[in-house]
Amino acid sequence: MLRGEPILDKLMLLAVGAADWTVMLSIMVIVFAALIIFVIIFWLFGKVFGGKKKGDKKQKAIVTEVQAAPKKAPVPVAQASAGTDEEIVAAITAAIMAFTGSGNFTIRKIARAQQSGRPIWAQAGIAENTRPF
Amino acid sequence: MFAEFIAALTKILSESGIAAFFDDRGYLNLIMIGVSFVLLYLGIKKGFEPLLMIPIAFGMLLANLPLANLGVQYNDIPGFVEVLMSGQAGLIDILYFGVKAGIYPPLIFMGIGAMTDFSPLIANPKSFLLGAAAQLGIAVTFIGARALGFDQQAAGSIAIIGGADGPTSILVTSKLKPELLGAIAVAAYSYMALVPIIQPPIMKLLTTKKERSVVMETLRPVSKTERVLFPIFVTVVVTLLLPDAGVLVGMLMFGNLLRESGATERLSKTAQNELMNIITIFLGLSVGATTNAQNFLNWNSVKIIILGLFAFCVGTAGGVLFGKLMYIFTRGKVNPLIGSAGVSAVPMAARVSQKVGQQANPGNFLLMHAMGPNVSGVIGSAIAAGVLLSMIPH
Repeated sequence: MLRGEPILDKLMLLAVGAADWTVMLSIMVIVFAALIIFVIIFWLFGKVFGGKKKGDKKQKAIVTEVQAAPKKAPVPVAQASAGTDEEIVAAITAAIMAFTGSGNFTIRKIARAQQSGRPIWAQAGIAENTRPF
Repeated sequence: MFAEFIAALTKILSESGIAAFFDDRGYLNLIMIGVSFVLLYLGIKKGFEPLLMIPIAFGMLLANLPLANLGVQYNDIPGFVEVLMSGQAGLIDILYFGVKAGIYPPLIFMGIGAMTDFSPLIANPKSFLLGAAAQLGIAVTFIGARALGFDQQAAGSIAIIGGADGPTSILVTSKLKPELLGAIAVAAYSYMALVPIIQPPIMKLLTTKKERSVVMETLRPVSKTERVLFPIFVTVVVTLLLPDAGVLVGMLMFGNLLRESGATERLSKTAQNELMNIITIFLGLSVGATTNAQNFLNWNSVKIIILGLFAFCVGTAGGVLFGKLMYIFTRGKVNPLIGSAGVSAVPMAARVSQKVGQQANPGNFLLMHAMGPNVSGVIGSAIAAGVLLSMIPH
């Protein structure tokens, strides 16, 4: 080893040849080439088969204010935001009954919840997937 | 008579494994057994990819218990035939044949394909490019390994650690440099387990908080037709382009087709569960059993550990930097953090992207977007493996 010559330089000069740089280049070029082909193919797929935008679907994120009223029979809602079908009110009532396991409540009000910019089922999916790992 | 009893006892003891430790260099086996204990601890207690680490560690233990004939005795197919014909083939020799003949890794890939949902990738095809960028780790590590004095076959085997794909690493190494199989398998699976520690510092270093906070558009729904055509197209394109990558990508996509076709539910179930588990047991155990003191306890293994870390770091950096490029080109629509998920430790790297993204912008949900590059990286590293196998003589 010559005095003063950095060890790493000497190693690199000895060991790495043109063939090696060729391998490195080939890996990147071929991988990129193949995957660019796929970008194009599947971008075309999107044009041909593309699904509806999420915004088309109606989003019903509804929050209820529930008050426990012991010994009172469940009475249908006093107030609901405009355009809420009776069936939806019934469905919400049933869901709350199933969830809480009892009928001892009165629904006072049903109002649309804050929209977070993404569909409510997506929000549920987020909560599901981001539980601590 | 008492003397004969003592003589018989002495004879048994001298033929025991314990006596073999005191033979010439027998103490090295003791060290290897110690290493296997450490790996068992890491797998069982610390959760380091236990499904592979525990079989590998146990295989290492079995192979280094002297005189039990539980180590792998051959390095190539003619060697296998020789061992078979001599009647000396043990259980592990037979199991290892599946590794040597390149059967197990593609079958594991089939199981992985059956478990993988490619729709985040189909919905956002630009993610393919991030999966490509992360393979920079493989390319640069190849040069790094050559610079450290490894020959081309060894360098290729070490470089493929950067693909963060166990079966791919094992397939390439078993064909190019089987002596390094044990060290490379241990390094590969260890670094995959360490992804949540290795990646975040690099991701934060290379991005600004503003870039990390980007909220990406919700992915479009992907139709069943697309999900069925995807594996077919990918198989045809990759195998025509690069026949050496055909076995890995073809089996990956076959598994995926089993999942998406809707008509092969029971096959998909078997591929993901029973078959995958059987092959994993055989693979892990026999790969671990290739390790012995000569090929494991040397400076090469230290270099492999260093290069493996280097590969993961460069791959992460490559993905994130390309992500930054996409952020610029799309005027802020792509969050660069999903680029690091191109290092295809599925789904760990995607979850890391999610976590780091959440630190910058609570409530940001990058997981599904990061799955795109994540699964694209699986395809990318299989293609890189094909390039290595086609360019390096073996």
